[in-house]
Amino acid sequence: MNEYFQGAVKQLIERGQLLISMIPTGLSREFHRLEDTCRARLTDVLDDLNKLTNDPRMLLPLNQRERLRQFKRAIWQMDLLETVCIAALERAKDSDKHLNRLVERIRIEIAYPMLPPVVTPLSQSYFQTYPKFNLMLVPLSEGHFLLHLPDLYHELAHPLLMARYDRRVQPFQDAFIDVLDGVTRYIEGELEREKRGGGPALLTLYLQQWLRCWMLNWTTEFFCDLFAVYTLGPAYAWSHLHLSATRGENPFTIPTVNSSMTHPADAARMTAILQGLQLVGFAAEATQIDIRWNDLVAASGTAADADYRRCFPKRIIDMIAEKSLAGVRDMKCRIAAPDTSTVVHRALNGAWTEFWRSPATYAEWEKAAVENLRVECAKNP
Amino acid sequence: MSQIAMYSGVYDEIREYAELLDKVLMDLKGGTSGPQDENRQRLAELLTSLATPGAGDLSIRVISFLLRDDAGVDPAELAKIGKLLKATSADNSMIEPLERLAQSLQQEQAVTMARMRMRG
Repeated sequence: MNEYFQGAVKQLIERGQLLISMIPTGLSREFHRLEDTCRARLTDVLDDLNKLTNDPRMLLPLNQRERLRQFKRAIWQMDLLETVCIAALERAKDSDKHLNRLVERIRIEIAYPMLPPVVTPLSQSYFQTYPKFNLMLVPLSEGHFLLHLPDLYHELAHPLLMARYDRRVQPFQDAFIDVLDGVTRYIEGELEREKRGGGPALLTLYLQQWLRCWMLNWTTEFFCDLFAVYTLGPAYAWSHLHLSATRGENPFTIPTVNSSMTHPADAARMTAILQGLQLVGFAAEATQIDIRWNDLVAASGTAADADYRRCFPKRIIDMIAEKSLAGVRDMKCRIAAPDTSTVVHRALNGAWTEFWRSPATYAEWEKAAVENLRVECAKNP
Repeated sequence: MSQIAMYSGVYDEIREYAELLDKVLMDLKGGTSGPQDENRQRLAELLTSLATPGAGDLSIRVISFLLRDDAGVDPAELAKIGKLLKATSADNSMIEPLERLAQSLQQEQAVTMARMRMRG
């Protein structure tokens, strides 16, 4: 393997150096932290690669498995840095300063306990966050509209679940772990029931697949949804309805043996969102949204079946809503209330109020509202 | 959150521990490892947590879950190795099960990478 590593590592080091040289100069201040992270991580990868050929221990036959594993990890890191970080920095010049100011304003309004991520309009697949890079990607034109901006609050919750050694976010993470334990107990109980009843093997495989989804993805998504509900209020529920109407599939979809789902079913998410709204004093709004949601479901010609209800039991969803609320409260974040009247909160909730008040004229109204929000966010808070 | 962003998070959870494990394995094989080594202490903590249901932070729980149906990973054996790592000098009997754990983590990383590439 030595010859292979000599050639491949040298070529990868060239690639890493090229990537460092591709980081644009003169980036604006909000990108400095990302640039720093990117440089540091690329340097670490290059150091690791150098060790693969220069560290005498790496040449020993008994260490070749470790060497190959380290080589693969270095390649993956470089791939991610290239496709996410370098790409984001390259697009930094087109960045929408408004979106960065907006996220900073949200951070202040809701007493977000961490630094805000840098926002760049690079996304080709809706909103996404890379907590390790403190980077949020949004679609190119999103800063010119209001109806999907509530999703910024959802994205802000992801880093809260990945931060380590930070006591401020511990209550949220503790609540998350409680929920994971509750979900595990529930599904393991169902698995036990199947075993005792001698039911079809397929159902056991379904339950195992659901547990995997709950553990790795779904609980996170529910927590991020509810963080958005608790810190923003009804606008997030409307935004979810909008997303489901425009981009969603069957809202009652559950994964089968050969399919996986990174996000819970849209209907289950809406159930959690509505429960969350009720818990913080938006019962009337939750009723209105529920009516519109049922209209949408009826129009889609879909309905919940027994497997859906088993996969997303209401009592589990209610537990998530309660525990995540305690977590958000104990982080000392501001919980939205009907009388909350800060700039971004007012703008995003107001947009949905206006949308339903006068759907035909909303698009025209929105232009002025976006401009007004830009002006407000440019001022010192 | 997009699928690629989500899988990158899972990968990151695994990577840190996979790196730690490989470092300790090389030290054990090279006979340069002592019970007070920081990496060895951290690995001992990880192994103990993996073997204790409901223990550890979020990343430990993710890894524990991913490995729970892996036939090559025996939690009781890992707990025993965790104790040995804290208490004694290197013992070759630790290497084989740790190597199996490293292979399992590598496999989980490969699966996660494949998912990212499929959807990326």
